[in-house]
Amino acid sequence: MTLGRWWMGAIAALGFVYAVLASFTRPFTGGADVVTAVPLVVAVLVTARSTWELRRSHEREPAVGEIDAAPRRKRRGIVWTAPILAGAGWELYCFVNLPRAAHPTLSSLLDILDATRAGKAVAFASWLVLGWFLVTV
Amino acid sequence: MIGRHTTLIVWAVLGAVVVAGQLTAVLSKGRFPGLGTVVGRVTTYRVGRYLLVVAWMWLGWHAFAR
Repeated sequence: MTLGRWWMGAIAALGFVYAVLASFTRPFTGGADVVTAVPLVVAVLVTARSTWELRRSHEREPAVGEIDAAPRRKRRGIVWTAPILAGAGWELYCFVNLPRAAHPTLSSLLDILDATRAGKAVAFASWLVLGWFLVTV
Repeated sequence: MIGRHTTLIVWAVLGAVVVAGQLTAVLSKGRFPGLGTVVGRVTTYRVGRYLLVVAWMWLGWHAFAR
């Protein structure tokens, strides 16, 4: 999906304002449910649209360079498997061990960030950016 | 018995490895793929794309709503 610079700026500004708005909510309240659900609905709609666009673009023949470069980069990407598996393993270890204060999971670390309004706004904005990346890449 | 201090150090080391990998990717000018490239590769498969989006949705709901 390609958007113009003006649209990207407008979406970024909207996301920032939305993240600040979200920082005023507290978990386990109706407000938090609504403010979190809206990006989820948008993500479903954008994913459906971008999947449809991807399917259409796959109907064309790939360029020669696209075919040649892919396997080489794919092999190098395997090095990311080690830190991802290590992170997943450590998360699992912390999750099954108590007390939580001695074995903080990623959720616990995120809770520390969420404890302040600015921290929650940053966390929410980061989550929105990650979601935007996932549904539009 | 591993304490809080050690647990946090391991998290910090894992975070540092990810940051170092990303820096390497940026400095190598595309020769070494960054995490974004790897994620982008996963999303080229429809199932991978859906799984990552669902994981993102769960993360947001878990962190901010419940």
